[in-house]
Amino acid sequence: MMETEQVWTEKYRPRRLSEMVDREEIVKRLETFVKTKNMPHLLFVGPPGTSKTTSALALVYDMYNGNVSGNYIELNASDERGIDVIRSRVKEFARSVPLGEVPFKIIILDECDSTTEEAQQALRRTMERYSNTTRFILIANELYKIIEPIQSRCAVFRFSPLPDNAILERLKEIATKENIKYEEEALKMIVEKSEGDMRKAINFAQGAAAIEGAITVKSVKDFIGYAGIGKIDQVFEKAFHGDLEAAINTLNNLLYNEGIPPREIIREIHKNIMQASFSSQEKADVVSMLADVEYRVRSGGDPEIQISALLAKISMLPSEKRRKQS
Amino acid sequence: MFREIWTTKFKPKNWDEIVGNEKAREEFLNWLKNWSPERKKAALIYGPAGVGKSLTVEVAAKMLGYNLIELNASDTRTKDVILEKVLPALRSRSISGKPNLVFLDEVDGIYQREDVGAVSAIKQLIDQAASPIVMVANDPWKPSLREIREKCLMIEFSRLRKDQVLKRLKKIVEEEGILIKDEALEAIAERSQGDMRSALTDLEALTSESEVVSNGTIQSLLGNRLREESIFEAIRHAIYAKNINEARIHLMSTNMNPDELLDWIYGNFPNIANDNEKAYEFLKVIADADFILAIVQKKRMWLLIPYIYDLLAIALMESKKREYIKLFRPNRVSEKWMRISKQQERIQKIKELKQKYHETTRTIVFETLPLLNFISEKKKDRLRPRRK
Ligand SMILES: Nc1ncnc2c1ncn2[C@@H]1O[C@H](COP(=O)(O)OP(=O)(O)OP(=O)(O)O)[C@@H](O)[C@H]1O
Ligand SMILES: Nc1ncnc2c1ncn2[C@@H]1O[C@H](COP(=O)(O)OP(=O)(O)OP(=O)(O)O)[C@@H](O)[C@H]1O
Ligand SMILES: [Mg+2]
Ligand SMILES: [Mg+2]
Repeated sequence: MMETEQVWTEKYRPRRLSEMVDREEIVKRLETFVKTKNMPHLLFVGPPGTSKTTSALALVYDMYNGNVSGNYIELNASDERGIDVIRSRVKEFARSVPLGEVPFKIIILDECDSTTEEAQQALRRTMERYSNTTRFILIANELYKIIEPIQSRCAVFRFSPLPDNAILERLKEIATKENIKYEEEALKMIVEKSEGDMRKAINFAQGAAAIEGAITVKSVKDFIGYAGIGKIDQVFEKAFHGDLEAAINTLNNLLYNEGIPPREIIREIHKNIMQASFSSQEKADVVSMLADVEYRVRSGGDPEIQISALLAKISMLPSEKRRKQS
Repeated sequence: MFREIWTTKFKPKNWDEIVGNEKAREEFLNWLKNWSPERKKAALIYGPAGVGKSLTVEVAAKMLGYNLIELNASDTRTKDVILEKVLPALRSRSISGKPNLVFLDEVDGIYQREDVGAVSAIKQLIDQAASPIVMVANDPWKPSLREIREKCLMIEFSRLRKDQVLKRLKKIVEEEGILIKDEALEAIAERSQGDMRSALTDLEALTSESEVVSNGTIQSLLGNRLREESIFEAIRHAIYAKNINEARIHLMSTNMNPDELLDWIYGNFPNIANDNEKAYEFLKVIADADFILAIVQKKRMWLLIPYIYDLLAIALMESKKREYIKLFRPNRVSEKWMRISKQQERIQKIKELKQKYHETTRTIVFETLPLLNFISEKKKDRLRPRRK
């Protein structure tokens, strides 16, 4: 029932490089690759919603002039448990001969920053061995999570947040095509809230439009209130204010009812810790415990127990004074 | 010929035949005899399995001439069922002219999800009741029962003493002319750990052969039951143990796998540690134990298992010691498999959406899914006719 709903971000994802808004420099480079039918391995880095996946897919589309099937595969690095899977699929794919005039095939590896170092190490050899027939586009949010040898094998493209006016124009274009009325103020609000993340902006617009069939200041507010990542913030907030049991209950709800992957929860808690009013020493303590928790969960530890211990630590740290302040 | 199982065959028919828990039973009887809407309108009898809770209610009802209206865990107990079946009974007498006694057995088996609205319906029942309501549960401390608990007279049943079980077994053995050695009867009583039902069941299992039953037969034939009550006791003993070694021995005596034991102990942390500092110290050690467990399972390093018990023993010993600690069966123990399978389902779904939309996990979880849910909610809202 849910799936029949068209998601605007996907519906309006540019298919070709020429359809992309902004990103002129990057697009120019990529179009040169298309023209020369050659390219190095690429590494796209930048925050969420800044055209990385879009550019990769558009490059592939243009490179093969639309005949993409058989010429590329898209792997999500975080799903392909164990490097063996990646390896075997890559090998299998690389062995077959390229179909058209382009002498190589392309492998897109999304979410590379959530792979282990081991996996990245293994990739290193693969990238070299099959480079004649296969080029990689690696995608990551954070560069420091990619090991140096991989970085050195790629041309690194940095994607920065999209400028406000580019997002605003895009929203207007989509609203017009969807035949949805909008208040100028409402769109500005969306742009401001989405902080250069095009996906977020489009999602806000679609959510707001779902309420009364128009994008108004009120509907935008309603939707943002509903969608916020706020739920994980609550886990942290409760622990921070010393209410450990409530924090753990909320955690359980996220883990077991909402089905949010533990790794994402740890990631958000990390953000919260960095922003919280701990002393530097406290922050260092909590972060090193958090690192330990992440390691343990990845090694098969129970996410609930491990994260609960972290929350207990957070809950006992804040001094009385700070609790009252916030 | 129709054959009864022994727990039915030897089910006491009258009050005096019931063994043990005299005080608690008396309390219940008095409450029932003196029932009035001014006092507690409902009673909640709780305690371990097979000690005569349901039995007490049934016998008391018969003895005092009540018409028993029963709803237990095998009935669907949605709000509608409860209100339709039970509410009328609370307002009137039965056709036979006897007064009604509403009996909700196994109330801790009410699951929010399946038995929609059941808890609030029970509250409503109690508030409107013009005749007594009695409920029975093993674990009355479940959070879902909190509001009901407040409205009830709480009556605790304990495990029976070994000599009480033994006496009853002997009586049955004599009446039936069963050939069994005293030591074997003792062994049955011992293993029952105060659960009369299980003692009768063991006896039945052993005497279907027409030979003399000895202790050896019992040991080799019957598996040990996993006793929640003995788990509680082991945990409690470990908390009050004199040294770590003693605490450890108590924990090992439960015969549980370390991972189960860990779930029980972790799940009880709010009862064991009463402030955040304590909770942290406790959870940190538990988390260490959990990590070792993960290594044991992943790398098959069985040699590390003893350290898990060490850590659990330390965690318990270092926890609060002052007042009596009430323990409960943690939700995570009963819901674990359900949760895991649900999580798998969810992960699968996320994976599908990721492929379909070329997105990262983060995006699917925090943006795409909420958006899709929101849209479908709104759609339903719009389809629903509006009131003028
Ligand atoms: N340059 C662009 N022109 C038009 N639309 C864009 C552009 N960049 C992004 N979008 C829109 O935003 C959505 C998200 O962009 P994209 O998937 O490329 O983000 P991303 O950088 O891969 O983010 P993440 O790191 O979270 O995966 C796209 O589906 C598309 O609708
Ligand atoms: N105190 C007792 N005296 C004599 N027989 C008993 C006693 N307790 C239990 N029994 C025997 O065990 C059977 C089961 O007892 P009963 O149904 O009362 O258990 P219960 O306490 O309600 O347990 P559960 O919590 O598992 O429902 C009875 O039918 C009876 O045969
Ligand atoms: Mg992407
Ligand atoms: Mg019963």
